[in-house]
Amino acid sequence: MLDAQQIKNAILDSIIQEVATVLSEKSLPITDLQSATAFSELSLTSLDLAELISNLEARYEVDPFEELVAITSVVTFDDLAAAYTLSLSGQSKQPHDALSEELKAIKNQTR
Amino acid sequence: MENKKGTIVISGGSRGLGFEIASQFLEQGYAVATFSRGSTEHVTALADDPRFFWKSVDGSDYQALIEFLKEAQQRLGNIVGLVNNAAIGADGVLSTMRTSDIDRALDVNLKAQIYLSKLVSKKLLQNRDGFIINISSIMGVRGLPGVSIYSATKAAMDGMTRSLAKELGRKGIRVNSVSPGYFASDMVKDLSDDILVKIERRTPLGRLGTQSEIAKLVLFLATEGHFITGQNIVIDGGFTC
Repeated sequence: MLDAQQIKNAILDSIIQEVATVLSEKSLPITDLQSATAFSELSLTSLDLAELISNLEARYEVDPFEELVAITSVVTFDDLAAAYTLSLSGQSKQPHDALSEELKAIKNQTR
Repeated sequence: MENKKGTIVISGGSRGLGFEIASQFLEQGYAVATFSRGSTEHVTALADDPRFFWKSVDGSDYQALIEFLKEAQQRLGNIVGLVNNAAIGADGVLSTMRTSDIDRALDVNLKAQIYLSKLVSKKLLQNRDGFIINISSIMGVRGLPGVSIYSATKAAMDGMTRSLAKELGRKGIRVNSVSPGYFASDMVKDLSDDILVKIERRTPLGRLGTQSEIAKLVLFLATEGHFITGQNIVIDGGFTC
C-alpha cells in the first residue's frame, strides 16, 4: 500500500518527465529539475503548462483544477504534485488499493 | 472501437444541420459522437453503427458533458475535433422576454459550447492537433429586430473563436466560426412565404442555402483548411455583402 508521500513522489516523477520532454522538444536546456523548481524558472508558456496538465489529467483521470485547486496557486513542481495527490486522495472510497493500482499502471506506462 | 481518422464531437447532432454535419463526417470515415436533449428518428436509425454514438445530455450540465466525452472516447477512440452546433432560437422583443427564456438560450447557445470547448481542447492539447468549429450565424455580425439574445450568443461565440485561435494555435489546434445565413431548416420553418420571398430577393444568389452546403464548408475547414484559423466564414449567398 502506498502512502500519500509515495503517491506524491510518483506524480512528481511524472511531472519532471513531462517537463523534460517539453523542454527537449523546444530545444531548451534541461536544468536540474526538482520538486522545488518553479515553473517561472523555465521557459514554459501558460499553454505549455495547460498541455502538461492535460497530459497529467489523461494519465491520472482527475483534474484538480476543476474546483479543488486554483491554478494560480501552483508555483513549483511540488505544488502541482500536491494538487494531484489531493485530488486522487479525495476521489477514491478505497484510497490505498485504488491508488496502488493506479500507480502501478502509471509506472508501467512509457511515453 | 478505435477509428483511424478519429472521433468528431458534435453538439446538437440529432437533427437539422447538426445531423447533416454528422452524416458528412461519417461518410468521410470519421467516428461521430453527438448529444442532444431528445432522440430523433435519425439517431435511432444509426444506433447500430459502431462509428456513431448519441446520448441524451443537457450541455449546460458540466459533469454530464465530462461523462459523455469519457464514454465517447471509450467507445469510438481519440477525439480529434469539435463542432459546436447546438443552439436554440430566442425570438422576441427583449423587454418582453421571459428571463427563463433568456437563461435557457444563454445555457444552450453559449455556456454549453464554452464548457464543451474547454473539455475537448484538453484532448486536442494532448494530440497537439485538431480543430474546433463554432456554428455561428449572420445574426452575430448583423443586427435584426427580435433576435437580440440569439445575436448576442452568436457574437460571443465569434469572440471565443478569435481568442481561442490565438490561444491554441501554437499547439496546432485550429478554431473557426461558420456563420450561415438563411437556409432551409427548422429555424426558418415558421417564417411566412412573404418573408422567405423577401429574403431570397435580398440574397444575391437568389435562394436560401442548404444544410448540405453548410456542412460541406464545415468539413472543408476540418479536413482541408490546415492554414485557416481564427476566422468567421460567412455562408449566406451574399446576403450580408
